[in-house]
Amino acid sequence: MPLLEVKELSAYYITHVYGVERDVKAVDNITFSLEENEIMGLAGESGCGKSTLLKVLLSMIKPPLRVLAGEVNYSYDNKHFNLLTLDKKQLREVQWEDISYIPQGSMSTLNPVRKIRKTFEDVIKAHKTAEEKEEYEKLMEEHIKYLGLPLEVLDSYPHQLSGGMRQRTTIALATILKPKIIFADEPTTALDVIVQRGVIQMLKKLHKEQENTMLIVTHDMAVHANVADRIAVMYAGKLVEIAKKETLFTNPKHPYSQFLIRSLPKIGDKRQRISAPGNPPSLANPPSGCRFHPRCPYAKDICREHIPKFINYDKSHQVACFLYSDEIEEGEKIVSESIRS
Amino acid sequence: MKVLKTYIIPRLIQYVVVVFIGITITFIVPRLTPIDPVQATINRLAAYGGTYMEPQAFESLQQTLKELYGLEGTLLEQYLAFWKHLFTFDLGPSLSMFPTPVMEIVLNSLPWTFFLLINTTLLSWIIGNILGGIAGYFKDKKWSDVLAVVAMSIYPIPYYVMALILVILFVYVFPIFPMMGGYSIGIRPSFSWSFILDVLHHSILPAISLIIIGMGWWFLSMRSMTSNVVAEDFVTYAEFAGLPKGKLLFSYVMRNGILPQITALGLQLGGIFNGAVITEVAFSYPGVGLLLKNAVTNGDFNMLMGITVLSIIAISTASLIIDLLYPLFDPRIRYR
Ligand SMILES: Nc1ncnc2c1ncn2[C@@H]1O[C@H](COP(=O)(O)OP(=O)(O)OP(=O)(O)O)[C@@H](O)[C@H]1O
Ligand SMILES: [Mg+2]
Repeated sequence: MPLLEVKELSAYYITHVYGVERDVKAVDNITFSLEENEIMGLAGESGCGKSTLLKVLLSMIKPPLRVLAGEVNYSYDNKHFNLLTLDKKQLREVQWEDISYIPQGSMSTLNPVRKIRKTFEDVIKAHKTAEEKEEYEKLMEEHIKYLGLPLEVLDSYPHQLSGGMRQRTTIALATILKPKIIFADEPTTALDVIVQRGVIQMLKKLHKEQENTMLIVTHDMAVHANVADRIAVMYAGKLVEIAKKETLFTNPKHPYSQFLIRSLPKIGDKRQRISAPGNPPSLANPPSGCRFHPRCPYAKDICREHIPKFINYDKSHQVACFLYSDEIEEGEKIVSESIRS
Repeated sequence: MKVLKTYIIPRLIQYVVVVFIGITITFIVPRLTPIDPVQATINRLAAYGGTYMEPQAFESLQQTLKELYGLEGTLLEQYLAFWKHLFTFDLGPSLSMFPTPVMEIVLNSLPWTFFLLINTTLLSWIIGNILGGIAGYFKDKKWSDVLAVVAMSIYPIPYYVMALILVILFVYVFPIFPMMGGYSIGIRPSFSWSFILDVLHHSILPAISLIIIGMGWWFLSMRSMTSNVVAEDFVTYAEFAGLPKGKLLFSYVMRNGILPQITALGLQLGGIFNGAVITEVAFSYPGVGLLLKNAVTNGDFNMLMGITVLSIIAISTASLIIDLLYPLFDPRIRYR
């Protein structure tokens, strides 16, 4: 059984402005799974719903975000549950301890007026009951040292650390309880290349030694090339392709993935790099049918009318595109109707 | 100790400059007005006495008054003399209570004002911020909105209207509190329980009026402050980490929301003399505010100057103290 199995998940930001409902369809009918000990990369342009998907997978759901349909099933250590059906108390038992999170923009994830040590203590205390202070003092110092961070970090305030150090501190904080699965949202964005490498190595080390599973979001394909086993490509709230890293880089199927790969700089390649023409669509009012069709060079009539099903192209390669199958997404109507209820 | 160089010393220099300029203005402004205090006093004396004065006596009276008001010699000489007097804590005699020195009278009233206004300012700050912080943290709850509406309807009530309502309600309709003064007439000020209780009893009504009005503002500003902090990433992240609600509220949300409120408290404490005038007149409370009002009606020039100078010093000192304490609350200033 996969460690994480996401089934037909839809989550929209539903807001009312002057009585008019506005739905941002940030996660729309997404299905995929993650095997134990795997690293999956999630790619896609800014605003396509990557962070929103993570929030739902972590059950950090606050209005205006609402889950409309779907399941988020976890299975590990003889535990099997749909995260979306847990109550607050049950959530507290799995969040952070088993399912952890490295948020986007680590500059603001640490309390600016609290010493890092205190923040670590807060987190440990919230999960480990009645342990000796010295014991978790030891736990955090060991973890910090293990990750190659200087111990002084613990006695600093966030503003005293550099961006890279802060990001690595956040990673240390997120992994202090040895989680089963880690969701990292843009862990290297806004860092310079050298620091990026440090962060990636840290994640790899954690992955190897804590034997966890990771879902890493970034639009930096170089990072994916470096760490991911499989890559998932998201476009306008929908998954359009999942494949092994090598397959996706050499033989992308979805036209959007093709643009994504072809836009990468290659050594010795003098051809002009092509990126997808046009602009990302609005998620409040997405194009009909396949959401990529207005920018797609291969668009056919069916693409304008129907949403392509996310099918198995082969055993380990899924794609949602009418170039490869005529199958139409089931429940295409059902989701949009259930919002009104 | 980099804070010393980047924060404390500049702040101390600023303090000295502000006090210097403030006092200099206090010196200049009355000398720019067309009213000649010497002539005004002579006119009043004449109105009381109504007798004809020998030119010689008139001359010497004028001379004495000039000395009393520090209006002797050139402007520069006056200015230097003014500072010399200040440094010896000599603000001249009061004219309405001649010859008691202004300093002595002000120092007698100052404790009353400080006692009432510092306590009420701090209390309304503490209560308003705690309630506002909680209401901001739970801003999605109904009761949070209800509290906000209450605060919003109390806050704009003019202070004297509030004072009047309280006086009518609790002095006349339900005579729970005494009307006049800082303590009962006939009791001698002393360090006894009965005197202290009497003072407290007299100060409750003015205190309540100040706290109610003051609290509204602190509540509203803290509520909006914390409702912004709640949406910050580090709070969402700490929530995800499963921290207990109390810890989140105090160490994460309110601890950050309070920072601008500390600066605002400094300004508020500096401005307590503004509040003092209306409160003390409304409740006949024997503080500096009442003194100021009487000085104005009596044309007591030295007293006006004295109170102005002392309030400039008090205001600047209060905000200096708060500013110097601020780094204790904000590590970003402490370790730059
Ligand atoms: N609180 C919100 N209310 C309404 N719409 C929102 C809210 N948060 C995000 N959105 C919208 O949802 C869409 C998806 O946002 P999301 O943050 O998931 O994108 P992303 O793929 O993570 O982008 P980026 O790469 O810039 O981080 C965007 O169009 C965004 O405008
Ligand atoms: Mg994002």
